[in-house]
Amino acid sequence: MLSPLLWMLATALTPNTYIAPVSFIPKDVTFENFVEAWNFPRVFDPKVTMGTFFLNTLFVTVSVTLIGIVVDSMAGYAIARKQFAGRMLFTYAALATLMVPIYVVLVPQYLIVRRLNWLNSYKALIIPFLASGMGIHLFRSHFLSIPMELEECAKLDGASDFRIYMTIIMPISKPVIGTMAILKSMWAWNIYVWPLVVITDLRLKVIQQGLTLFQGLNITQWGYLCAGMTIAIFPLIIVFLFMQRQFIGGLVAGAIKG
Amino acid sequence: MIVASKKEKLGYYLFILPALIVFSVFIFWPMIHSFILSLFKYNLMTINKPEFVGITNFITLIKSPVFPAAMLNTIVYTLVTVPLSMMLGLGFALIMNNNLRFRNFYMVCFYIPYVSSMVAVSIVFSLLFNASTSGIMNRILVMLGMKPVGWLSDSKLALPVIMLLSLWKDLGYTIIIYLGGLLAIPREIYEAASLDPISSWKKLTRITIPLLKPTTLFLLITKTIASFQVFTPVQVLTDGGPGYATTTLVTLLYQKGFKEYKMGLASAAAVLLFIILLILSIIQNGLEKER
Amino acid sequence: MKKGLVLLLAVTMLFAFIGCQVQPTETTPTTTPSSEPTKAPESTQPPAENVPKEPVTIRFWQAGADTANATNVMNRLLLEFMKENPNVLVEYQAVPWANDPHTVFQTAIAGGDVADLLVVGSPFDYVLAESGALMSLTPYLEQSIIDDLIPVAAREGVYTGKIAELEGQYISLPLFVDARTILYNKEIFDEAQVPYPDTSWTHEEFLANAEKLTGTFGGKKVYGFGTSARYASQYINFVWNLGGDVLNEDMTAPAIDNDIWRKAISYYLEFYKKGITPEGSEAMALADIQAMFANGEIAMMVATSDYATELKNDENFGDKLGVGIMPHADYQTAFAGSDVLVIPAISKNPEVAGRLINFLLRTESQLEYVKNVGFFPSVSSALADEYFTSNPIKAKFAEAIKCGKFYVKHAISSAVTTILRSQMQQLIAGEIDLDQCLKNMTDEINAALQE
Repeated sequence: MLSPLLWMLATALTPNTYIAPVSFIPKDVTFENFVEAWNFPRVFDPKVTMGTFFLNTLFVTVSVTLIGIVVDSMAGYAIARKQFAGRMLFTYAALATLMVPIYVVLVPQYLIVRRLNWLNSYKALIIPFLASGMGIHLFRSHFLSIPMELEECAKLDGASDFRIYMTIIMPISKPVIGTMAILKSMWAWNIYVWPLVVITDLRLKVIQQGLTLFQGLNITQWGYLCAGMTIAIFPLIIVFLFMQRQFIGGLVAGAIKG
Repeated sequence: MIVASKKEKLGYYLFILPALIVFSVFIFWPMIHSFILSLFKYNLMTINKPEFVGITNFITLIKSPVFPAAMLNTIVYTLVTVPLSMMLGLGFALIMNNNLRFRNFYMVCFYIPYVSSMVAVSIVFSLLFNASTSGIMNRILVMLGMKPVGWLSDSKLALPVIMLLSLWKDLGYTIIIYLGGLLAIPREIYEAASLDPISSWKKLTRITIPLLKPTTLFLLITKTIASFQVFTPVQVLTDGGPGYATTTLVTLLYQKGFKEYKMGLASAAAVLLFIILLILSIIQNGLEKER
Repeated sequence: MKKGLVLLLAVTMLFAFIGCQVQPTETTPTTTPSSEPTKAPESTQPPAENVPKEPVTIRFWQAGADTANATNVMNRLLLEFMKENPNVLVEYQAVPWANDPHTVFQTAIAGGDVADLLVVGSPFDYVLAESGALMSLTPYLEQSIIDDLIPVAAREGVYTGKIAELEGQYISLPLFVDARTILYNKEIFDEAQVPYPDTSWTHEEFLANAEKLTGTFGGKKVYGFGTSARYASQYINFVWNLGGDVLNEDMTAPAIDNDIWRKAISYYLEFYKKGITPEGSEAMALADIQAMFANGEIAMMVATSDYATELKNDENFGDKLGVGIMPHADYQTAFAGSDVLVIPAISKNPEVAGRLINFLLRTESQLEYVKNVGFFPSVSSALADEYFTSNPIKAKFAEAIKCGKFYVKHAISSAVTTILRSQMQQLIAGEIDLDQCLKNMTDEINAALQE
């Protein structure tokens, strides 16, 4: 399962070559690739390192994840548990957002962002991703399985829908929120095509754009590339381990009886 | 059932409003814009004053010699990867849902490929399944005394290698979603069931799987949509080759729109893709209502 | 509860605001495209006379520039240009190849807001020109620069195609040029006792020698000539050698279903049939062939000068590397490519952009650039510099450049690439025969021309 990635780590730890090495165990272990990869963007601008890309991506990821979960879960809640005109239309519309390859809407999207004057700004990387059809549907499929009685009691006590959503539904939805946090942070962390067209300023580039700097026209610098990829994956593993507590807590509780 | 007041009903729309606004501005409008443009002939410079050509783009696309191959490859890819990935995902999720030793470690193992960027993973795979003797899989085969295999240069093997990549990479996602679904099953149901002497297989088929239905449906629909749009691994690994053995709908679309700059054709391909996916989703959603 | 409401309200208002702004009522775009170059200087006046009084800012985007210090050198050159033109400020932006600069530029052009000067990979200039996205460079070029251009640059930068206003005008000039020629492994040649390809071989000699170089050398299984039919650049030269090409002279139809192609492709097939190139190499990435070459498993391959330079500097391989001359038949040719300077039709400052082109094509600027970045200059005065003549590797590439030829100069060149690739791969895999292959290529290219 992990072998391709172990190879990646091994290559990252092996002195840089133009020929991809084969071994899974690096011969002369070196951290030089990591240092070089970290400093490589200085070639283009002395003030920019991988750290710059890192912080940019971090900011974008945190914003998209936190706000996105609120936006998606609210919409998912409404379409799963409420009856209103246009509900099915919206449900399918949210799904439809997934049905168009990014390349098709790239130019129209770019035209809009340009008109908003958002080129080379974080806004262009965050706001279009605050809602996701995938997130809405995942929340919907989860909310569908919560018994209706749960909120009907609260309703009789005179609680508003928003209060029910905040104080009853969300607290018992920790596992799905955890799942969404993992998925959303990963999507935001790995976004690639869109920043290419809206961010041309090196200081605002994101980590995936940074990684591609190691692939020259003809020559790929394997050591640097692999070191860069390792650096790029690391934060996601931290997020995962952190969010996994949500799972494990639930897993242990549920599994005993399972 | 409590009847909602008008004011409450209005409140429902507030719940979907933020998502609706983001979608409208950044997805629906660009989508409609692009779909309208499928009836026009235009290029970079004439996007603001395109020339109306009716359904010419669709006819050209369908008549294009690559189209049948692209369609077939996409369907084969979807039919293989979606069910396989869901079965494997459910299996592993059920295993992980037990008090397993080193469970955290296994989870991380499945998770890492999924979070790695598709571009990075595809590059790693291109080194592994390289047709030359320097390809890592081939070196292993040679070490084991077997003949090297032209993984990506054999038109029968290239698509399966790409499927393998997708299965490997997305397994973590399926497991995570299924685990989320398993967690949502109220414990009381199992507790009630444990009073009856039924086998764990029956528990699985009679309780767990039916209760996972919303999750399964969600995965089925979203995975079908995603599979129909497979692109990056093809682009990195084979460029659609050998021959047209790995050309898919979206690689064709990308080729037309961004390599050949025939944007009207790309839009037409997107409309076709959209119609297919919409029909499939409606059918799949229909399964929800059957009980 | 309150916090949530406030957030909801804030988000809603934000989006409502955006929603209002975006209403796509067609306001006139901020930049009105004007395809005619305004008040072009008729003769080649010294640039100083045209200096506008008020300060001007131009934007300059370069596709590529991803080798170690390419951006640094460009920045140095631009500083010098700005010193000469004190009222001009150049905002420079490099977009590495891996960041898909052509997509970026294309999107920016469609969005109506692009830099005043671009460097793009040839033949993307023809794609842009065909869309009406480029303006003629001719009015802005100094005669001394035009006279100094190397043949391939002078020939291939002139537009022939559908757009009447551009006919016979320069639409692009190379910032630098490169060509592909033979790289060989001296050790394998010595062991096989084959003379180095330092002078051009005929097709027959090339095939015979490649066969001799196939076998076990240095304890390894060696292939005489590693080539991948995934890339037209790997075999189109054999067609050119016989006087053929992909499209006819006025670029209106494929010129493939003929005896020249039949002969050239059957010749190329021999390398596969005789096992001179590795099995499955028709679908390999060039990087794989290069890896095998670097690993001593391939005796000869066709590659670019930047790869040759990298390999020369490799401590394990450097001494074994030889650079030879491409084989020939009726003609001597070499597959050349370049990154070219173009001025978009919607450029706001074509005159200043033109001045920058003249500056970048001066002998000194050209030498400064290619000496630091690699590749070769596009003006003869610079190519004659002893930097190129004294270094044996560079000298061989410089010779290749002199007989250099560019790939399909047409907006459909990328479609042609895909068509040739798929048909060649099917031919080599034995799924179709040669006649069928050439016929399919012709049909599909015809379809692409009509789309």
